[in-house]
Amino acid sequence: MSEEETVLAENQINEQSEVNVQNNESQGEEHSTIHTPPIQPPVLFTAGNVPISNALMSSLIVTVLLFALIFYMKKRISLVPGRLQLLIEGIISFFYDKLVDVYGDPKLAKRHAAIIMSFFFFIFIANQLPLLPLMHSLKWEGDIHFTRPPSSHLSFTLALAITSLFLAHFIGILHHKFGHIDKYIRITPLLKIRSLKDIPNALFEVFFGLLELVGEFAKILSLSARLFGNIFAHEIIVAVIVGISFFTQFFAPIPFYILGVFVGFVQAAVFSMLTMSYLTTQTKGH
Amino acid sequence: MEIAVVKALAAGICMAIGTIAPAFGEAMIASKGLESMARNPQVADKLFTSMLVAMALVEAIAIYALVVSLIVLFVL
Repeated sequence: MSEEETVLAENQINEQSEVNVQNNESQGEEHSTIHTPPIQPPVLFTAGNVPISNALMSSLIVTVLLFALIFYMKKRISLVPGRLQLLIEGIISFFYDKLVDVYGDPKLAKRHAAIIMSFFFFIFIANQLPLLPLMHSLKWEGDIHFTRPPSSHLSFTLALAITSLFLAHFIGILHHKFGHIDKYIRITPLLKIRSLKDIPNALFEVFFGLLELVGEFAKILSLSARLFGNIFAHEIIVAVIVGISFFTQFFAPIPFYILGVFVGFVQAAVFSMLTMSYLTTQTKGH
Repeated sequence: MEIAVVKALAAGICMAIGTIAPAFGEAMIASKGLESMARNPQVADKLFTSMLVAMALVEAIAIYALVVSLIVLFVL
């Protein structure tokens, strides 16, 4: 093979690679029409050392909305309920009646219903945030969405799950004192050993206690990943449907938005009902 | 194979295999729940809420697969 030919071949290869690069670039442009929301939310600005991301911003908006709802309802509350009051009373009595059934003690049920209701309303309003007007189209510094549903950020759901489990164990310690810790780090079966025969059983109990301890952390993971996965998946589905072509931007996403409303409601209900089951299992005797 | 192709394949296979079992589980919950609701309509409301909770618990497994495939697609 002569030198000229090799040079020619190299040139061809270079040309091919250039063509490939161009293809990749054009493909990238085509794909970039689908703007899927990133897993890590973009930072809007920093207050002191705290970076304020858009998920944090929208959870602040949700808090403000909740407080507005509370003050509005407190002013408008009456013996003959209006529509909103009827709705909220229905939701509250749904959880409250269940708690009274389990505890048989209205005072305790009232205290725990407050915790569970605040979980429910916070998550429900957070999930429905993009349905409010302007929320989905407000932009910050050109390209960044100003809000996004806070539940599509793993830190939010993880914080809620940790709060719920921590509350459950705090209440468990209040009710059972040392017996609650003994549920996970078993010491009493070791103290009960009277003969050599008891040792394997006692060791099994210690092992099962450790398994329960791992199970508690699995609860945190599943509780947070469920909420995050559902809401984030809904966000991605809407983004993909909107981004497929110019014609799918108007009426095609509507069924998916309706599905999103349903999913947001069900996930908020599931989160609060699971929190309720954790609380009730910790308060009951074992 | 290019890395993007591998990622897309991995995410697709993860979802395809990971949703088989939850699909059967949810179908079983729904069929049993509807059956018992039809047999005893008086407790239909209670059954419906606990059915939804059980479904969400089963769905968590599919959601794990979803989270893994999202991590494969966007984070890795």
